Amino acid sequence: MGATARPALGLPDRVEHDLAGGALLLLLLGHVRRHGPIHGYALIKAMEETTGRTHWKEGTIYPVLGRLEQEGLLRADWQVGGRGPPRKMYVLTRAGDHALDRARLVWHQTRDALDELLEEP
Amino acid sequence: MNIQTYLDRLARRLHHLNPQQRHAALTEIHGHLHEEARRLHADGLAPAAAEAAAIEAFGRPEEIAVAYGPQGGEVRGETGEVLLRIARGTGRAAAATGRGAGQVLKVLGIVALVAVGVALVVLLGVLAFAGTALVTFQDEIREAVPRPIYGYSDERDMTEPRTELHTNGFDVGPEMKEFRIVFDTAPEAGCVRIRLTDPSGDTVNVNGNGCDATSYGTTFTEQGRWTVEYAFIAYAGSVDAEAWGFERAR
Repeated sequence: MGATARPALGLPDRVEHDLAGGALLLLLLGHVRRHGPIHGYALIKAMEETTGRTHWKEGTIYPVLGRLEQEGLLRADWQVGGRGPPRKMYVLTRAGDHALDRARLVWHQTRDALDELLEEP
Repeated sequence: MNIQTYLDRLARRLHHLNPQQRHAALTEIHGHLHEEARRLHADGLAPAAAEAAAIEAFGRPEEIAVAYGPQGGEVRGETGEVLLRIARGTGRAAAATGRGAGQVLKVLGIVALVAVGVALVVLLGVLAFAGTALVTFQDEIREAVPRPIYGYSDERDMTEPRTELHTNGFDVGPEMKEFRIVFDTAPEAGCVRIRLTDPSGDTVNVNGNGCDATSYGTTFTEQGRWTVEYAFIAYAGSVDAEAWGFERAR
């Protein structure tokens, strides 16, 4: 499996890419808060819908969910039944809720600072 | 590649997870691929093509395995490529180095273990021999090791011409086969006469007038109370006396 050359991204694409990537934890926790209980597949599709495009390899989201679960920010329960394999359903814990509130403050501060900086003189 | 083949390949790359974690991860991923393939099939793709497309979007097993590793987590497309290249290169180098180093370490380990084993056997042999020797020769050792039975040390500064007497002694029991007594005198001025008297009251040793520095010792055998008399005559200086007994074998 050889590496394929990728075209260099322009600045707007890179900014979008970086912002979406940097906001991954916020996006994950925010979607779980809004839609939970939610399984990984639905979560990833919801994130793609929110951000408008795919910024991550889908499969690499699951380890992040696992870590958030280990850290106690998410709780997961297996849902068995229906068609297909069992699903792991995620909900936000109280600690996750608090962490998301604090992270949202940081996000707002960053956004406000950038808005002020980038505003036309 | 179908979903099951993909999951088998991924399972082989998730050996750093414990069985429970690996099973949970594979079950969750199976659910995702199943759902995505079903959606793509509903959109018009053939079943095999739908599975292949779902797998392609999900990521290669190598990427997913890295993401589940200790440094893993969020792995974006480009990051995954870099991580994979590093992991592949590091892995190959480590494997090549590891095989050679492993053989050397294995041989060294075996040699070290054998050496430690031999040293332990030798040490145990020496200890066993020493223990036997100590038991066998315990009487001889006891007879050869002296036991202190008497000690006297004094300093005098008698500037006036006069005589002071000091008398003490020690007991020699039946357990003792002999004893040795040594007197040391160091007069700066004056004399010290030392008289050693046996249990019968007979003087067995006297150092004359003791006006010069002397050191002498003698061995005796008689049991009972031995007496030592020190007569300091206008004496300035020091005196030391010690005796050791040698026990009989039991």
